Amino acid sequence: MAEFAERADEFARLGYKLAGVSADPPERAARLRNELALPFPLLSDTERRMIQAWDVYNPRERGGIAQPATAVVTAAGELAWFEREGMARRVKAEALLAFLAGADAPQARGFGPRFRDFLRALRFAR
Amino acid sequence: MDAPDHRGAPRGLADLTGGRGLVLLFYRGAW
Repeated sequence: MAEFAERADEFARLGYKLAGVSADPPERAARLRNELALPFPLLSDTERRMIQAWDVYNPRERGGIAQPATAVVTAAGELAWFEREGMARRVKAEALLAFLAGADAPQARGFGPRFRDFLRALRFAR
Repeated sequence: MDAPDHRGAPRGLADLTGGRGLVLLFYRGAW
Protein backbone atom coordinates (compact mmCIF):
# COMPACT_ATOMS: atom_id res chain seq x y z
CA MET A 1 0.00 0.00 0.00
CA ALA A 2 2.94 2.31 0.49
CA GLU A 3 3.40 2.72 -3.24
CA PHE A 4 -0.25 3.62 -3.68
CA ALA A 5 0.03 6.08 -0.82
CA GLU A 6 3.01 7.75 -2.43
CA ARG A 7 1.13 8.15 -5.70
CA ALA A 8 -2.32 8.95 -4.31
CA ASP A 9 -2.16 12.44 -5.78
CA GLU A 10 -1.69 10.95 -9.26
CA PHE A 11 -4.80 8.84 -8.81
CA ALA A 12 -6.63 11.95 -7.62
CA ARG A 13 -5.57 13.85 -10.72
CA LEU A 14 -7.13 11.10 -12.82
CA GLY A 15 -10.26 11.38 -10.71
CA TYR A 16 -9.91 8.19 -8.67
CA LYS A 17 -10.08 7.84 -4.93
CA LEU A 18 -8.33 5.12 -2.96
CA ALA A 19 -9.49 3.01 -0.04
CA GLY A 20 -8.06 0.00 1.75
CA VAL A 21 -10.36 -2.83 2.87
CA SER A 22 -9.62 -5.49 5.46
CA ALA A 23 -11.38 -7.47 8.16
CA ASP A 24 -9.60 -5.45 10.85
CA PRO A 25 -11.77 -3.54 13.30
CA PRO A 26 -11.74 0.24 12.89
CA GLU A 27 -9.37 0.81 15.79
CA ARG A 28 -6.71 -1.46 14.33
CA ALA A 29 -7.18 0.01 10.89
CA ALA A 30 -6.78 3.48 12.36
CA ARG A 31 -3.49 2.48 13.98
CA LEU A 32 -2.17 1.13 10.69
CA ARG A 33 -3.33 4.20 8.84
CA ASN A 34 -1.49 6.41 11.30
CA GLU A 35 1.64 4.27 11.25
CA LEU A 36 1.81 4.35 7.47
CA ALA A 37 0.50 7.92 7.26
CA LEU A 38 -1.88 6.84 4.55
CA PRO A 39 -3.62 9.61 2.64
CA PHE A 40 -6.68 7.47 2.06
CA PRO A 41 -9.19 5.76 4.35
CA LEU A 42 -9.04 2.18 5.56
CA LEU A 43 -12.40 0.48 5.64
CA SER A 44 -13.34 -2.23 8.11
CA ASP A 45 -15.28 -5.21 6.81
CA THR A 46 -15.42 -6.95 10.18
CA GLU A 47 -18.33 -9.13 9.08
CA ARG A 48 -16.29 -10.25 6.07
CA ARG A 49 -19.38 -9.50 4.03
CA MET A 50 -17.76 -7.66 1.18
CA ILE A 51 -14.59 -9.73 1.40
CA GLN A 52 -16.54 -12.92 0.91
CA ALA A 53 -18.86 -11.50 -1.71
CA TRP A 54 -15.91 -10.32 -3.79
CA ASP A 55 -14.24 -13.73 -3.38
CA VAL A 56 -11.12 -12.42 -1.70
CA TYR A 57 -11.65 -14.30 1.54
CA ASN A 58 -8.92 -16.34 3.21
CA PRO A 59 -10.59 -18.35 5.98
CA ARG A 60 -7.40 -20.08 7.11
CA GLU A 61 -5.76 -17.22 8.92
CA ARG A 62 -6.71 -15.20 12.00
CA GLY A 63 -10.34 -16.19 11.85
CA GLY A 64 -10.70 -15.11 8.26
CA ILE A 65 -8.97 -12.23 6.53
CA ALA A 66 -8.93 -10.59 3.16
CA GLN A 67 -6.63 -11.86 0.49
CA PRO A 68 -4.62 -9.08 -1.14
CA ALA A 69 -6.47 -7.89 -4.20
CA THR A 70 -6.88 -4.72 -6.21
CA ALA A 71 -10.11 -3.58 -7.79
CA VAL A 72 -11.32 -0.49 -9.57
CA VAL A 73 -15.00 0.42 -9.58
CA THR A 74 -15.88 3.22 -11.94
CA ALA A 75 -18.43 5.92 -11.27
CA ALA A 76 -20.58 4.17 -13.84
CA GLY A 77 -20.71 1.19 -11.52
CA GLU A 78 -18.51 -1.05 -13.59
CA LEU A 79 -15.68 -3.19 -12.38
CA ALA A 80 -12.83 -1.88 -14.52
CA TRP A 81 -10.04 -3.87 -12.90
CA PHE A 82 -9.82 -6.83 -10.60
CA GLU A 83 -6.71 -8.74 -9.65
CA ARG A 84 -6.55 -11.22 -6.82
CA GLU A 85 -3.06 -11.86 -5.47
CA GLY A 86 -1.16 -14.20 -3.26
CA MET A 87 0.61 -13.25 -0.07
CA ALA A 88 1.35 -9.71 -1.16
CA ARG A 89 0.09 -7.21 -3.64
CA ARG A 90 1.94 -7.39 -6.91
CA VAL A 91 -0.08 -4.87 -8.87
CA LYS A 92 2.07 -1.81 -9.31
CA ALA A 93 0.52 1.58 -8.80
CA GLU A 94 2.28 2.72 -11.94
CA ALA A 95 0.64 0.01 -14.04
CA LEU A 96 -2.78 0.83 -12.66
CA LEU A 97 -2.25 4.55 -13.25
CA ALA A 98 -1.35 3.86 -16.85
CA PHE A 99 -4.45 1.74 -17.28
CA LEU A 100 -6.73 4.36 -15.73
CA ALA A 101 -5.16 7.14 -17.75
CA GLY A 102 -5.96 5.26 -20.92
CA ALA A 103 -9.47 4.29 -19.95
CA ASP A 104 -12.44 6.07 -21.46
CA ALA A 105 -14.00 8.56 -19.09
CA PRO A 106 -17.04 6.82 -17.57
CA GLN A 107 -20.30 8.65 -17.33
CA ALA A 108 -20.94 9.67 -13.76
CA ARG A 109 -24.12 7.74 -13.05
CA GLY A 110 -23.08 6.89 -9.54
CA PHE A 111 -22.21 3.57 -8.00
CA GLY A 112 -24.82 0.87 -8.32
CA PRO A 113 -27.14 0.21 -5.35
CA ARG A 114 -25.46 -3.07 -4.44
CA PHE A 115 -22.04 -1.51 -4.28
CA ARG A 116 -23.35 1.40 -2.25
CA ASP A 117 -24.85 -1.15 0.10
CA PHE A 118 -21.40 -2.66 0.57
CA LEU A 119 -19.93 0.76 1.23
CA ARG A 120 -22.52 1.47 3.91
CA ALA A 121 -21.66 -1.76 5.70
CA LEU A 122 -18.02 -0.83 5.94
CA ARG A 123 -16.84 1.20 8.87
CA PHE A 124 -14.19 3.82 8.66
CA ALA A 125 -11.10 3.70 10.79
CA ARG A 126 -11.47 6.17 13.64
CA MET B 1 -24.35 -8.71 11.17
CA ASP B 2 -23.58 -5.45 12.92
CA ALA B 3 -25.60 -2.48 11.86
CA PRO B 4 -23.70 -0.05 9.69
CA ASP B 5 -22.13 2.92 11.38
CA HIS B 6 -24.68 5.49 10.34
CA ARG B 7 -22.69 8.27 11.92
CA GLY B 8 -19.73 7.49 9.74
CA ALA B 9 -21.37 6.08 6.66
CA PRO B 10 -22.78 9.27 5.13
CA ARG B 11 -19.51 11.09 5.56
CA GLY B 12 -17.69 8.00 4.36
CA LEU B 13 -19.74 7.59 1.24
CA ALA B 14 -19.18 11.21 0.35
CA ASP B 15 -15.47 10.63 0.81
CA LEU B 16 -15.50 7.63 -1.48
CA THR B 17 -17.97 8.55 -4.17
CA GLY B 18 -17.59 11.24 -6.74
CA GLY B 19 -14.96 11.49 -9.37
CA ARG B 20 -14.36 8.83 -11.95
CA GLY B 21 -14.14 5.88 -9.61
CA LEU B 22 -12.69 4.12 -6.62
CA VAL B 23 -9.60 1.98 -6.25
CA LEU B 24 -10.08 -0.68 -3.60
CA LEU B 25 -7.00 -2.22 -2.02
CA PHE B 26 -7.98 -5.37 -0.18
CA TYR B 27 -5.26 -6.19 2.33
CA ARG B 28 -4.60 -8.88 4.93
CA GLY B 29 -4.80 -6.60 7.90
CA ALA B 30 -2.37 -5.53 10.55
CA TRP B 31 -0.80 -7.97 12.96
